Amino acid sequence: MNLTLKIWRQKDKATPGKFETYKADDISPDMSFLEMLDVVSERAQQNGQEPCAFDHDCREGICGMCSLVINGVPHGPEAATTTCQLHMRKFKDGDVIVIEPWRAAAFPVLRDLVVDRSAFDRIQQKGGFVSINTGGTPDGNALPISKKEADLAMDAASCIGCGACVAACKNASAMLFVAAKVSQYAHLPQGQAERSRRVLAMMEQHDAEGFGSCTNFGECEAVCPKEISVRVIAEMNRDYLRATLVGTDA
Amino acid sequence: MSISLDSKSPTGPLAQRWDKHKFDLKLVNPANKRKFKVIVVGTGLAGGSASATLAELGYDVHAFCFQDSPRRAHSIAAQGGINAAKNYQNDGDSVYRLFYDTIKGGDYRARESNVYRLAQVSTSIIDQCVAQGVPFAREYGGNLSNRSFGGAQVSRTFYARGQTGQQLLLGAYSALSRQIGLGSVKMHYRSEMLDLVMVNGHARGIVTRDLVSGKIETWAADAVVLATGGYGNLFFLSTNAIGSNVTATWRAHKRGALFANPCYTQIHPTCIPVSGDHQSKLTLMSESLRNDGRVWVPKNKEDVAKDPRQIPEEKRDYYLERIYPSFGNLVPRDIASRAAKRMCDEGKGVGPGGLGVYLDFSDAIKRIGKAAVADRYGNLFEMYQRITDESPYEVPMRIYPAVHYTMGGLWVDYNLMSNLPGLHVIGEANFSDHGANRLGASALMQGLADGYFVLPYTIGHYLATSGQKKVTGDEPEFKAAADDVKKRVSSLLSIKGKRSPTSFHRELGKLIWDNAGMARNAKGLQAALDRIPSLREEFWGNLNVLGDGDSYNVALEKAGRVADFMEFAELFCTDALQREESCGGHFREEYQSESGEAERNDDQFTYVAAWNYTGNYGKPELIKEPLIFDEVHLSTRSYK
Amino acid sequence: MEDGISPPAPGVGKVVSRVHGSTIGQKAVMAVSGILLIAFSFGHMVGHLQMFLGAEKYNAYAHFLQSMGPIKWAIRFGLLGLAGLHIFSAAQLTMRNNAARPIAYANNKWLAASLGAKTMRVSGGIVLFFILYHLLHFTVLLVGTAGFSGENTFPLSQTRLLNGVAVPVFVDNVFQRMVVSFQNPALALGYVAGVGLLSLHLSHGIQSALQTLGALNSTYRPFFKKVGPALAGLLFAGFAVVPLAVLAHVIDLPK
Repeated sequence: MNLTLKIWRQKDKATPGKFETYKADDISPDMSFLEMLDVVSERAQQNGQEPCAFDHDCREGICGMCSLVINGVPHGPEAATTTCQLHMRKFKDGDVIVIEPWRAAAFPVLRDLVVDRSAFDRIQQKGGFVSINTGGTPDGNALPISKKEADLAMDAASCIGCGACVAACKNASAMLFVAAKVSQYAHLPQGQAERSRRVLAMMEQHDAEGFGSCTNFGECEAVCPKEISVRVIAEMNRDYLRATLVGTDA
Repeated sequence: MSISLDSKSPTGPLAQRWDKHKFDLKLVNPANKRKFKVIVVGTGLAGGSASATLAELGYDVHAFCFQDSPRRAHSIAAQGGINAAKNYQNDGDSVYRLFYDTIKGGDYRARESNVYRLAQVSTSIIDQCVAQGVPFAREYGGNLSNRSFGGAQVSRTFYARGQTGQQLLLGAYSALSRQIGLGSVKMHYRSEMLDLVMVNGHARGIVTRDLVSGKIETWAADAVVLATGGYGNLFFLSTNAIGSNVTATWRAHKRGALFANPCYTQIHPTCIPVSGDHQSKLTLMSESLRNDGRVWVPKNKEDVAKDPRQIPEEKRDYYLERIYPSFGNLVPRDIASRAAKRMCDEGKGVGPGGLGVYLDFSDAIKRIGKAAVADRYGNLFEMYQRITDESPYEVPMRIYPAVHYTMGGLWVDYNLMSNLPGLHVIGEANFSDHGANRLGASALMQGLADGYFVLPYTIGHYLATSGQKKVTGDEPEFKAAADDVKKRVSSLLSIKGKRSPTSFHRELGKLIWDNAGMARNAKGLQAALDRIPSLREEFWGNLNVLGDGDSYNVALEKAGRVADFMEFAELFCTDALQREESCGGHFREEYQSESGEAERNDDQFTYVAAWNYTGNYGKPELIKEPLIFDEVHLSTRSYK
Repeated sequence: MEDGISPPAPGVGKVVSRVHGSTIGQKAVMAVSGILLIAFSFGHMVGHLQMFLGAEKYNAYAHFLQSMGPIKWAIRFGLLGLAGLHIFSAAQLTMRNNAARPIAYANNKWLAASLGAKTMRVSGGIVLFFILYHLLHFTVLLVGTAGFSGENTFPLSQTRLLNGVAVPVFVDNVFQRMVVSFQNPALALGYVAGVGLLSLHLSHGIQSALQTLGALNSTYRPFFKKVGPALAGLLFAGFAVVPLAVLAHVIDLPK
């Protein structure tokens, strides 16, 4: 099939970017979206144009590196799917596809479609862990955890840190990302000792990074490739307010 | 100058070797640890866990990754699970059994001492990860759940849905993040190591390129740890992440580190087949699918193009169950992969190009119901359907083997130190524990064993005893290494030819896959060895990299990695050619039994092939480390 | 997080700064003030519905409210304070949120947001002006008072003793003011539009407030996704029915 692409090109953080139009002809419906971009880049290179930079690595939907807002939707039109797992059969011959980077003040564009998501790392560094050192831990079965709680923790832990939630949110809020981590530990006995401090510290960093506030619209949940529910945000709000008002370890 | 290899393997009773060795290791005074700077390159399971643990101990750690975050490392993609000899299922597992299975699974090409230690520390890994809050699967009673996996007859695999690697990596990442937050680890994102710096015969630093600004920088330290993963992307198409590469280990090799057993490549049997020329990677489907799926091909070649549902039972060849009645569909990866290749070679392959076999769940659906199948494999089925547009509930899956893991890597001794003093290598980047074939759910185990429980002890011994002066980074060796890197970057940019880095990579990968893939022979290997130098020459004469070196340049990144694969490929084929036997993932067609099974040659090849760089890629020097088996008896692996 | 020293218990100042200084805290302020204002609105609506009971009942009710003295003023200042907090937090969050996405998408598609959600700022802003007008109109009696009856012109059937003589109690004829106002179609329809926007605001606001306060989980969230808009609709119906009934002469001045 033949497509028209409008791709955001930007030289670096400081230079303003703009859209450029590319023809993508003879695209196989079996290609993944990124393979289509590979082909377009390869052809552009033949014509002396620098290939378009976009983040990607594992190409199997788990590393969280790929991004791209495709026709207004982070990770494109297929639900519960990362950009790298999106296939061209979801598009029609003659389609115009607009490709933009994640847009948020906290995710500055580094080049073309590549953004800097290190804000997520800094949030994690504030409290997204259990403060234990290697060694000296009790036997794995010493601490029984109900299957239900373990499953709820796993639901939250499946976050791949891609940032689609931020990209989709009208306010560029990272609440779903933060809440997924907070919820994982909140459902596990291992996370209880630092429960209040964790949520306060991570949210403090969230706000300091310049992410917006939660809209409660649910756009983040709708685009999350791992289908993380906004349930986790309610849980985090509860934890945050409890920690603020009555937290003893805060 | 020839090198003699000392594996430093302890002697004495197997079960006491690690304890005794730990006692013999010199310790660093706690107050002095802060004064030792350690560079860790790569932040996957091995590098991430090592960085965190070293920082907890008090070392001054600098960690580097080329991705935008340590959480992206390709360890994240492991699906199935992690082995540990916990014997929680009371089914007869033990440290010894895990040791034995691993040695045997590796076709007796690994060190006994290393493998035993791996089995020993496996149990601590589970405890550690649970304490970190890794949400392993649980039973209703609250205990950890296990499953049997990839050729094991006991249930010793711990898992977190189909995302075990992700959860373990995020566990290590959380520990690392904590240390970064505390200021004990300085993390360098989007930084690619492009050279190793040797001072006075010791590894004392690295050269990196900042992938965003293009800046070439040098970093000085007291020891260097490489945790940079495997080199499966030599084949272009593999299950590895697009960015996975050989550059760090290859540059260390060119600085004198020995490369061991490069030809040992694991081909994973359950991957989604290639669909066209545009393909950029192959997607692995968890091996756990073989627990309930049945592998078959049509008995008659005429049926290969038919709708599989129209092929009656009696015209199907469930070849794994037929050839290996006792293990059936659960034979180890190398066996399953080769059997699939043999079926396709006989013209019974299905799907595009006849490169695929069926993995059929219709019996499982009949037996346990669609809901139960969906519960176990639902997410994998969805992934398959997204890629192929076919539903495995309706039509049998098509699978084909793909390059997955590389057992070879930089040679290390029992302390995980290479022959270059100070250079430690952990995880998939080293060669140490899997011999010629890795068992399922063992990669995660080894990465974390190295990072959490082995290297943190052994590196202290080196630091306490090396007696080296502090380096600042101002020594001439640093400047020389940085200049080398700069020269190389500018030469890649100055060729201004016609072909893209990817087109060369694709051609090299196909050459290696065709001649040194799942089955190899002397003729093919020689043909590849003849072709590689001319391809490399074309690369350096006709490469086209646009843009400049002082900015974010994806083509330049790629070109550097392909350039290293071009050199490494020759060593890879040389190793495969010299190993005139079939063992594990290395199958030489000349050395097989009448029924097509691999035939080892223990008399001549029970050694580690460690290669020394001589300046001539085609003529590396072979140094042999004999493998000595005190405990196990070398037998022919049989899964019949 | 691991300074090794247990920090002192947070003082009230710290709690206030954490509530005021964080996005969740400010959202919580909006949620709590919003819920209290909603509660008031329901009470207000029930009061209004007494228009159907006739002038006597309605005016007596209005008089009862007026006669509460200091409590009346406490409620008035309380409501003003709640509205002030609601608007102040909204304004602060809006500025923050606009800064969080400096470059807009060229192409933007909504997947989950309801109409009420997407129009929160607009509906909230217009409702503010609606309420201001409403207060100037009926409470402060500054605008649109043409034809309004004077003070204490309505005799209740209830009497009081004045120098031993039973005299009727005269109160404000609020009923008459309402009817006169809503007989003007522009004012009636403007009022309906105002409460319509309020209802649109609450169709997202109710469940949003509960989510912000952490009251929703996998069971209650789908429930309140339906109940929130239903309550908002109920409020709309309760308010809108009065002016419409006046327009239709179902409610009218006594002949």
